Amino acid sequence: MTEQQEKMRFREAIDHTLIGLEGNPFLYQRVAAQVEKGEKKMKASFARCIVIALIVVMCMSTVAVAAMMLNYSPEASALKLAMEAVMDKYGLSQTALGLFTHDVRATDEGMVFEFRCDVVAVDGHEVAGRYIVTVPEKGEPAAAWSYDAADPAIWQSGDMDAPIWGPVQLETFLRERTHAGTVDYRVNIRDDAVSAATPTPAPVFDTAPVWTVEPDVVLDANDLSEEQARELAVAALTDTYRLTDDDALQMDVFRCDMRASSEGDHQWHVNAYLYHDGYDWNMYVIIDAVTGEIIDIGMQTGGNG
Amino acid sequence: MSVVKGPDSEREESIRQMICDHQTALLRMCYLYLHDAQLAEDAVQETFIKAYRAWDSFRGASSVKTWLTRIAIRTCMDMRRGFWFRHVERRVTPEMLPDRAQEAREDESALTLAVMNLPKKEREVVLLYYYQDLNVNEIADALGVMQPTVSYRLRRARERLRTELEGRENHD
Repeated sequence: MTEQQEKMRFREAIDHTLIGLEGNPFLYQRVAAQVEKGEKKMKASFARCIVIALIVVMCMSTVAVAAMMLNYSPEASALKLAMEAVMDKYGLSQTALGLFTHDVRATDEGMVFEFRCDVVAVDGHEVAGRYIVTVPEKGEPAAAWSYDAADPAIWQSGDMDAPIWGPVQLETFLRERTHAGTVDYRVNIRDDAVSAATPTPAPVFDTAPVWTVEPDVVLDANDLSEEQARELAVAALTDTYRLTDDDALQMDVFRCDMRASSEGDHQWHVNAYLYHDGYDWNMYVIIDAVTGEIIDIGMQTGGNG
Repeated sequence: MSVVKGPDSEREESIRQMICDHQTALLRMCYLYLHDAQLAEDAVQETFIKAYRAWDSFRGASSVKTWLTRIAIRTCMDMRRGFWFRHVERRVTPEMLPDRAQEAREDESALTLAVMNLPKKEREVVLLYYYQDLNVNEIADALGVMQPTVSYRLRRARERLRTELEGRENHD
């Protein structure tokens, strides 16, 4: 069966099942009435509406422009796919994945991301293991877990004393650490865990520039303004982590610094905080100041533990 | 004497024609996405209101159907972001399907239910690809994601549907 035939059969099956759902013969009148009602309101209180509309248009245009301009580097694009692959295959939430930091390397098969949990047992063994995702140039990402070969019964029980932690234990850990403030699990946060508050991306490719803080970097005429960088960062974070418009409004962009790579390229390093579904999200974005490309993006789940 | 129509009447006629041509398919797509006939009707009405208002900016870069589908799916996505939807994802059962669904063949209603019970992201791409006949580029544009993401979700959805429907056949 060809793809077109497959689609046709699909549509027929749906249409036969939903035959009871028919369009409304008066829909045009309802739509026209709604539009007209909106226009009449506009005339009735012209001055007030113009002010509100201008504010809305200003807000809309900045968000829309930022969204339209989103342009991810190959690494940042692949990272999004890698995160989705882990979440889809292993059932981790985005918040749980925020307990992991990632490294990336280029291989013949594509970009390989390694997500390593910041939570380890006191004896150093990695209870949550590592998730490794290969994102090929073409085709689907393939995710694996360092505990794929282990008996699932070990971690599926949700037992916090189990030597392997799956999604259930990670969620419990997040809950206890965040809400109770004290935790007595036999785990420590890894000493070398990368802090999202001060992003220090590792040089992952031979050609990748090493980031250095250049306090005297001066804004160039070709550079994005700080305001544009902030808007782009919010749009990129909203897009990457599938956040809502409300989340975007609540997001606190608390730092936006101009820095330079060793090659002299200007970048905006942006840090943002969001209280999301009961958890602290610390996020960062690195933006090419000239092209607006999202060079790197990351999120870590925080808490008060 | 010929009557010269102004831009407003042209727009009205175009919208009237769009509603006539596309509202039923959009209603069914919104229903499959939202799992609620009343909400689906609201989403379709909202879609055409948005289309009416944005008609002057429609340049014909895509077909009218693609344009409307994009507006409709985004309207549905906005509706789903509400508190209730974020916390409740009901599994749809045959009894929850609209009137006259029992007139369909069993395999047809099984497919409909399987699609409705797909995870949201996979459901989106399946509806746009198979039901609304958008291509991968158009879907990526409508959902604001990259093309490989669409292909990946589509593949996952196919696998899931195949497993679900084959499991059902074996069970029967």
